[in-house]
Amino acid sequence: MVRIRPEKQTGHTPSRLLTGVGAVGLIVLLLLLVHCDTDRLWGSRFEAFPLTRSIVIQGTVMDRFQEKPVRGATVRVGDQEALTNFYGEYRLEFYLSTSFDRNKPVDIEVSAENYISFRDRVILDPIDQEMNFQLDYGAPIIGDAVRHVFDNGIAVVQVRLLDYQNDVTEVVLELEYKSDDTPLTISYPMYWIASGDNGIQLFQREAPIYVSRNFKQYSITATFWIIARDAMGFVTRKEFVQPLDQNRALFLPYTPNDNTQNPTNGFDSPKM
Amino acid sequence: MLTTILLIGLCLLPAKAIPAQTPAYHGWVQDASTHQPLPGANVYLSRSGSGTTTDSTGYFRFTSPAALPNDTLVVQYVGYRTLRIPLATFRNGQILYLTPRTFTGETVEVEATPTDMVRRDIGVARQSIHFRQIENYGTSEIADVFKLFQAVQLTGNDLDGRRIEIRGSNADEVNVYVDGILINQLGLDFAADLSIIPVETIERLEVLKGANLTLTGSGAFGGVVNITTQRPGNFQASLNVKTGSFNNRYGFGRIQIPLGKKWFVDYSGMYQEYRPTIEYYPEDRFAALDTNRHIFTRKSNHQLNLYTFGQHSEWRAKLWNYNLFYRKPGWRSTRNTLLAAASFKGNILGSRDWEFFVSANWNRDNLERVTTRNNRVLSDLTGQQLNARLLKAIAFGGTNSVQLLAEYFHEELTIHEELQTPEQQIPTQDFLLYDNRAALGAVFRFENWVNGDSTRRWLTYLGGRYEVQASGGQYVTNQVGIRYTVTRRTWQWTPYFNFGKNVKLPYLIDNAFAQYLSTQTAFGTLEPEINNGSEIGLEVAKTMPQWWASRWSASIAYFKNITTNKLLRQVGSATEVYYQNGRNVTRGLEITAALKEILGRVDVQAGWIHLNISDRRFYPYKPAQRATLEFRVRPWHGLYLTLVGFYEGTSTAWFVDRAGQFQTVSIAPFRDMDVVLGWRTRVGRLRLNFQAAGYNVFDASGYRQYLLKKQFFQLGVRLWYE
Repeated sequence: MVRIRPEKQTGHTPSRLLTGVGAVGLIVLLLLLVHCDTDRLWGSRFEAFPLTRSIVIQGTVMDRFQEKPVRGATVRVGDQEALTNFYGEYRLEFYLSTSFDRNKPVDIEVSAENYISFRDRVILDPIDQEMNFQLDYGAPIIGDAVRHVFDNGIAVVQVRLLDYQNDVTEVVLELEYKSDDTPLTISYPMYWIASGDNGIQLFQREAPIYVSRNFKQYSITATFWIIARDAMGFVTRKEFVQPLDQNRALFLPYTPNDNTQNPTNGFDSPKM
Repeated sequence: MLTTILLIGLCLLPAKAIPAQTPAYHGWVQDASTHQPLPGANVYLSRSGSGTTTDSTGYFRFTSPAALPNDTLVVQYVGYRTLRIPLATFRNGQILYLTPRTFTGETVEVEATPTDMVRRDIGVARQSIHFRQIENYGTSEIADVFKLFQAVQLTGNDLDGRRIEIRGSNADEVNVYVDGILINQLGLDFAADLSIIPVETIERLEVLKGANLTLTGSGAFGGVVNITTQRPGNFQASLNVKTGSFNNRYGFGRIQIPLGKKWFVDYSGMYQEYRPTIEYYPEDRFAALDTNRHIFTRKSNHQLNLYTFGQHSEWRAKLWNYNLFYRKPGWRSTRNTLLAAASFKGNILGSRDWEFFVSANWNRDNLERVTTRNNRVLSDLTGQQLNARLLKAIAFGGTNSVQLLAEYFHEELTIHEELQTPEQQIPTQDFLLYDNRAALGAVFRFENWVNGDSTRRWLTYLGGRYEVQASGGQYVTNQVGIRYTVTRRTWQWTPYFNFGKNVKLPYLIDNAFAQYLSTQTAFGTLEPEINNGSEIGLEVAKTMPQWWASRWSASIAYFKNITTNKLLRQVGSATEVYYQNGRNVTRGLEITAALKEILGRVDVQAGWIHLNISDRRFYPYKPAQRATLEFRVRPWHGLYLTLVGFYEGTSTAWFVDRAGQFQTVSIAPFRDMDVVLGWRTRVGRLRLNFQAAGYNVFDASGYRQYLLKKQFFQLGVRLWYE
């Protein structure tokens, strides 16, 4: 229940204690005012270094195996993107908004044609910085290829192939034939015959130099192509032109081979 | 305090179904000089003990099972003289006027003190909520409390705090006062963080909607939130313990000690720890967020209040410390805020109606993080704010008055950040910013009865504010408001209208940007943002002393805010784009309706708002339509139930992404509900309250990105000793 307690009327003189507290408070306030830097209390100042937090990220993109710059590689940091120049150098500006002060990770992606893309998530330092990348060449490298035409009407093609990831799944030989001026291209899967030093693989395929189609006889031309595909989906295609009258020596003596697919373990391969 | 106890005690009384012949008493309580409604006033019968408090429109209604013939109706409200009238002379539907107290020596009733500044400002649409309602709701999350308000949207997270937006405004366009302290100053972007306020300390929470507030609303294009905390009084100790989802552990304690007859001191402390599980980055506001189960948050809050009064004066002092610790792997932040405030109200050297307020805030933010290169980044932010204001009310010409205001603001910010590598320390950021501003304001109030008819009253406000900033610029704003109230038997009609100009001065960081840009480009200096706002509205209330409901009220408001010189800070991928050439027109229609005491038990409140924003780049992420619905079942045999259902229709959010592209996201409509069930009992001098609550129980929020509307279950026990 509420009780309203009437209090003694103390007249109209203010409480001495309160007056004292007020007076002391005022003195403290004035002391503080005199003590502090008064220019701060009446003026204004805006010193901010640096105000915009754009950082510069630069560096080079190199080929890990060949130690040469990767030209035209795309470097993407967050939503910023730059291309490498002739020397494999890139430079980009990245705006560090407040999210990055909360350790927001930034996605980094470096990609170039025929290279395996590099991806990472990093928490950036809030300063200009250098970031160098090394990319792995991903596509199979087709080296030299030779074609030897035997007297019995068989052409044998051998090709040297290098793949850093050693995961070539398919090598195809495409031969061009002609009847009068009508061209015809026929694909022949190549098979592995030998491994060399530094990961070089040797593939081979034999093919007839004459073929019949629709009652027409086609004969082989100087041009042929090698197409190599690996497990990561990289495809390399290379064109060779070797006139029929320049019969080159094969890398390894020709022996017919039934093994049309990749080698199995324990396969006794002849030395190149 | 006595009245508080009485009222809580009243809630504990086992209520019975109300027979038709039980006499009911209803009416309004208003300020005798300003004719503003007084929400939260205590109204009771001194002998039989029945009573209630007034709602946000100053309306009260209660029944008395045992009416005594010579009973007295008592109306109490702090800062006002207690009104006592014989019950025999009271007529239902009567307006009871309270006159401001001049400290005649009565024992101080502990109730909310209305901040005079808010009460004497231009009259706009307002809505308030009282601590009992918050208590029944049981939440310790302030974002939930705001679900009970219409046209208010809460956004934010644990790190940036809970931010409030009114009528489609931005968070920095709402001024939030806690016991007179403008807490917007604590934030770098001038947006108030409401999560620093422990919900249990709130006595009353008031939302003033509208851009035209002269005294409190400088730069507040959306409106003003005024929070009054409980004032110390008679001895009481309370303890509140809660646990719930997200590994939440919550504890709150409060002790009030009277020191003699005139001095009162109170301390309240809050501790909370939990795992928010959501990773929050400012730019990902509009995207689905990552989860991170390793985040740990700890909050603590301490408040010390001192209150005393003299013959013609009252003094109040407050010390307030807020701590936030936030940790995730490789990142930790410690925030420490200290606020100190003192206020005086009363007579100075025989001159009446003075108010002096001073507050000083210090905040420090330490951040330590590790980058991928295993370097450490240390950041240290220190902010200081000082705010002093002087108010004086002068009455003239009988019913007219003028409220004068002089105000001074100082803000200061230093930031030092460095990168520590194994070899060296590299400073990466150094800020020293400070600015000062001062303002003079006045609100003239002219009012009178129409031709001496006590059922019709007009009220006209004329407000003006002159503001000057040390970094350059001086601005004048002006506001006009008209209210007209007609009371006819059980009806009350209040059409109102206001319009005016409001100015938002650029804050520190923005000014620093402008200064920096002007050295680099032809950017020039920043202009203040200007808002021309107008509003027309109607408030209707009708009492229905019928068995199935006691009262209904409704309001409709149409408003238009034209904002020019709007500053757009757009985060791009390589730079931050900063320009100030914007003009935006926001038009809105807001409708609210409420039914009180349906079958004597249930209150229902509903609200709907429709917004039309012309340049949506300046106001990102504003749902075009929102609706809320609240059911509250009053206590019965100590049991109480609160149901808050809210519905949000299809809305479109929009924002500009880092690539500078304008994006829109459509948010599917959703409905969700908060359910709170509690039971109160009393053992001697001990009171107990058990509570089980589920917030957003269906977890249906379309706002996946905010933790605010995540499903949350909680169990709590509260204990009082008095």
